[in-house]
Amino acid sequence: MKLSQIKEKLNLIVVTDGEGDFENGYVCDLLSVVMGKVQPKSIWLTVQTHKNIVAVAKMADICAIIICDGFSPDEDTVEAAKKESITIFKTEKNSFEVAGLLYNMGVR
Amino acid sequence: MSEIRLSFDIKHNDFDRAGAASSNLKNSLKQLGYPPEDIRRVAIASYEAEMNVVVHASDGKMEAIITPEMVDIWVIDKGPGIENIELAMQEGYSTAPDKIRELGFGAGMGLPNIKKNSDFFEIESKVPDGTKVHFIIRRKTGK
Repeated sequence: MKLSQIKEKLNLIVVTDGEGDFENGYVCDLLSVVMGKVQPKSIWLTVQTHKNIVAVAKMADICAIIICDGFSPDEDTVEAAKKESITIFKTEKNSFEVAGLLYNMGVR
Repeated sequence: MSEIRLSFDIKHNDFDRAGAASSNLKNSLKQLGYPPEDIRRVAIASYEAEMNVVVHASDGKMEAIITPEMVDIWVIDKGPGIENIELAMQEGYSTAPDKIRELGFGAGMGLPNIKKNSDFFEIESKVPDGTKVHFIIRRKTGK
């Protein structure tokens, strides 16, 4: 699925823009659980906002992060994401809602 | 490519560097044309080992030897060491302080993740001298 498709459908706010496709989705706020279980080319839903989310995304080949529940990433998180070409969206919706919407669009 | 040796310092409590050592290691493997699946295993294992030093230990270092067949990694710190390695290896067991847990660290999956992603894993620790984590990821796909 294309990132541009979900950006539009879920009305996501773009923090760092990016093109491209993703294949799976994952929701968790514990970094090591994400690293251990997320599949490559996933989109990741979290409420963590600090710079290490970009590192986790880079290490685990996550294409995009959706920061849920109205949280905003730290400034240095945005800078790191630009440098590493990791797409970050944010939304007022909570992780449960976002995951449900993605699931209904066929993301697993 | 015969053998490439890389060495990185790791600073305790320096969350701002956000995995700089493992990030550099990943970039080097990409440049060397290592297969993505193998790079991912190295990246996850080395990030976990690096963050263990940042969260729990005093300063340390990561040393990696890259050959066409494998990536051999040592992460060595200067203490305080792990009291009970058996417990530390259990999924979900963590001694991370609350402040660090709020950042999403301390899930108790660090060492298990290193073991799971590597083909060889050993850990040695002595209180209060420090911990050595040694792991190898063999190149599995296309040489």
